[in-house]
Amino acid sequence: MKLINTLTVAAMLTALPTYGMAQTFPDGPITWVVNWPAGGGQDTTSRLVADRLSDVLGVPVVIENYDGAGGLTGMRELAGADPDGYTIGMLGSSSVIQQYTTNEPVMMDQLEVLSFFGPDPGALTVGANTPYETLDEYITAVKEAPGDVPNGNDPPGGASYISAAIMESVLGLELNKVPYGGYAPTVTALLSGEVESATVPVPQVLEHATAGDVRVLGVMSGSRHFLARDIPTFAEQGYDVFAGDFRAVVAPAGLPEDVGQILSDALVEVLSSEEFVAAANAAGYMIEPLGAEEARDRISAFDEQVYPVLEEAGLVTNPK
Amino acid sequence: MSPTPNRDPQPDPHEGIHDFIAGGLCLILSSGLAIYHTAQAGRLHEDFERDPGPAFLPVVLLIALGLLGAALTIRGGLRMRHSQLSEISASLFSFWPAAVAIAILGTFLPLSELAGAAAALSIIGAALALLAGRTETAKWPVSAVSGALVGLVLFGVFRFGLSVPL
Amino acid sequence: MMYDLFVTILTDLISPYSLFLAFTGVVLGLVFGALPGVSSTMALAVILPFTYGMETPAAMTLMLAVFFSSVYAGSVSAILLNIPGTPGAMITLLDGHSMARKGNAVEAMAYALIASIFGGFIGWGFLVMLAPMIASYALEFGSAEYAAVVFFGLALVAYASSGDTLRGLAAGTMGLIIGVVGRDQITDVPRFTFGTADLQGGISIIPLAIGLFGIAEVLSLLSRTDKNATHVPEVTARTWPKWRALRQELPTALRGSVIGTFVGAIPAAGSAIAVALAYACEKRMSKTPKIFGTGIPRGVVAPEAANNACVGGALIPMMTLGIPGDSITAVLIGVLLLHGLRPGPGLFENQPELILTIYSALFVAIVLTAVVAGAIGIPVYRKILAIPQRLLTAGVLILCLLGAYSVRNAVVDVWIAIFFGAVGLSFIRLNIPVLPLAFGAVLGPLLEENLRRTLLIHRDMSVFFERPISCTLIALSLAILVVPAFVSMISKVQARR
Repeated sequence: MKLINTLTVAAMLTALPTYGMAQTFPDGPITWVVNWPAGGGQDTTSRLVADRLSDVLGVPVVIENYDGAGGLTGMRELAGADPDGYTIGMLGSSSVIQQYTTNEPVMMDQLEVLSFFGPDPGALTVGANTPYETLDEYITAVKEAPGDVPNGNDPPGGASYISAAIMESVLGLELNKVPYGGYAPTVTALLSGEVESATVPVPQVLEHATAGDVRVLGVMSGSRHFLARDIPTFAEQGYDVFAGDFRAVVAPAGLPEDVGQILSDALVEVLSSEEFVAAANAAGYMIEPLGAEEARDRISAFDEQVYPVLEEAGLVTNPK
Repeated sequence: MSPTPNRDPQPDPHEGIHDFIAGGLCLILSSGLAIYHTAQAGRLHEDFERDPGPAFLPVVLLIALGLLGAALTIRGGLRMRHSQLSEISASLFSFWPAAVAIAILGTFLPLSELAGAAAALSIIGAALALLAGRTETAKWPVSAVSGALVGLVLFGVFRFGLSVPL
Repeated sequence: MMYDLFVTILTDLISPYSLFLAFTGVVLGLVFGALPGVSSTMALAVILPFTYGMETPAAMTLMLAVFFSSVYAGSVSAILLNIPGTPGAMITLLDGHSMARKGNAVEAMAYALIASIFGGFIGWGFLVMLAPMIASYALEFGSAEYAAVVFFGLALVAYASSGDTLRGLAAGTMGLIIGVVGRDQITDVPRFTFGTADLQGGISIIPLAIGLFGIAEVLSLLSRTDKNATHVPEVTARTWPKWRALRQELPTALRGSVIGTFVGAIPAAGSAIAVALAYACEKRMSKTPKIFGTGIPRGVVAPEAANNACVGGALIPMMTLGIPGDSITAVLIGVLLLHGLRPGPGLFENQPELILTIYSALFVAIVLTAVVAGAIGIPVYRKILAIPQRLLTAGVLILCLLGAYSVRNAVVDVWIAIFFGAVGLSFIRLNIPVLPLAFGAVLGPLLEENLRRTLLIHRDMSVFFERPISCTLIALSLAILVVPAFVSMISKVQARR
């Protein structure tokens, strides 16, 4: 850890002079906005990064948690901050969705993408007491009784709701989507048998799968999940379902280019370091360090994928 | 179970007018919200099949509040005597310090936009101490300064002790 | 073998370093918890960055010390200032603040402390001995049971609340309407948001309670012209209750603790339901229910035992299922994740040391809270009463503003607190009970969400009567609502003869 720090600081020092005025940035503490309360996924991942980002940049990176309006309070705080690089924050897929589904939303063009953090692919999990042993069986059963199989997910617009909706629209299914206020109550409902399936990400159900309380039937991503190498993807089983949450680091729009570059480089450096990846993986998070350009592409790709789904579900109140 | 000890053994002679006002407020609130609720566009009034839908409970509650309001108004009207109306308006006037205090509290956000939270809180602290100290013997500059200090100290506790972004 | 390991870990925890950490945690919890609006979650978030570099046992010791002591300290602002810092303290202020007004503030804090420690140990005992069993009972709680338990809670509050019935019902209905504000949990449709994003997340409870109880109380005192209208008189009575008086409260404390543990173990049920159940249960069993709310120790002991027993209860689903029981255990799970540990059903087999560490750390936290709060906390808290009236007024009102803001760092919460300050004042003036409004706002959304979810899954209401737990709870609720009315009718008829 010490060695890596020294190395990264050294790397930073050699890299700095190329950015002109940027030598002065950063010369004070950076505020990292988390738009959810302490303890959640957004908070844990932010803290993992912020702690190490502070080592790389040589200034404190302070987490500020906001709560309310489904994450919108924090996003507004972030978008409304001075675009000087001293306020940055984490963004999830829900913020992209909220552009179209809420009043007074924060639009993506109010934010400057700095880096990608990683995807958090959705998965289909069923309770151990359900008859579904394979994905095929599950899909057949849902097709036989449209709208009857209860699936636990977020309220409409949340990540696991969108995963379920994407699965429905790609496979031509109709589920009984039962909303819960977050992953923890969803998993509880799955364990107690109140719902037969759930579309939460893999880390949320991994321990229960190991204990034999639930079965993960498939992961909605291009490759298998690093924590569960034995679980096939949907695509491997012949169903082209790709869905899930993701995280990216953003700043208010209008950031000076060189400042954005410093932050972006520092973030990619943190996200690529072996020590960080090990810590994040141990906590259950998939890391995919991408710079600003590629991160922006990923976010717009998600945007294009999710908009028709929202429209189909009748959730769009601010059309594109 | 009001937080102030208002537990006279005799029924308050003003109970009639209290009922009347409370009932009136309930009626105004329920009818106002009912107009807003029924006029709301979007998915609110759609059919959600198995789920009674988001519009259902508010309607039930608004009807309940309306009925309770009507009951209170009628009960109040029966118990009320006219002479009490002037008494109640006189006693309303005695609430000026509370109104002033609310106004002072209301300046917090605009003031912190203008001058920062620390300044806003010390000004508010001073103003409140003056207001509360009006019946006490302490000299007013002492009250103002000590009130401002209280504001500053609490700002420090929340800003630096709890790192609240003020 | 388990026992040997336990002794080893406990001995490790009694090292000077751990004790120092636990002591620091307890002091921080006692300071932060006593500030209104500063919930245990926030106090934990503040010390979170310091735990990164620590070993897991040290981090857990610090966090649990803050957690437990801040739950006790929440009663302090309720007793002294009539401000409930957490929903769990909303009941404590009924008798706690009334005791303080009679000059027994310190005694009320002492009762609260003793009950808290007692509740803490009972909750701890259940956690250590019966965690897996209680966890499986918690899993029995589906949406139908949830809806039933909330209904039960509402019935109990209606019963426990005194004052005029009609006005109480009106206040409760208003509370339920307040709970409706914001985006609906089931369909995500906004209701009563008046087109602003600020109300989309709903009206949060702490700012509401701070306004309704805290600000309103100060405003009402400000308007009194008589010079004796003080917040709380100087302490007149003894500090520590007599042993004999304490012994009489033992059954109350025991019942409160058991209720607290079990309700705490139901994920997301929260201490608000636990304290309401405990208080109403005592009032129901009492031969003199009328004296509740006038400042009797029993009215402090019941909720305080319950909300501190919730600490142990909330840890049960976390340790056995890896599911956070509330927002506080969510932070604890976050810390474990940052340390590379993943709580889940495998924890007992794979990491017995961690389990035992958490048990021992909570034990140490309870003992230290007793010592520190008794020896330093209460003597310092009582100094608050010596603050001159004008400064106390200014200080409490500013504390209310800051407390409301810091719950979510949201500007709108300041306006909500001020608004409900005015509402509370007019309620006091019009002699309308405020408690039903507060509980309507807390419990209403839970009831609606779970009721509608039950309908989504099971299609019709009959499920409530088919499932044993919900059927029992609904029967009990109806009994609570109907029986007293029936009894009073009979006694009236008899009196007429």
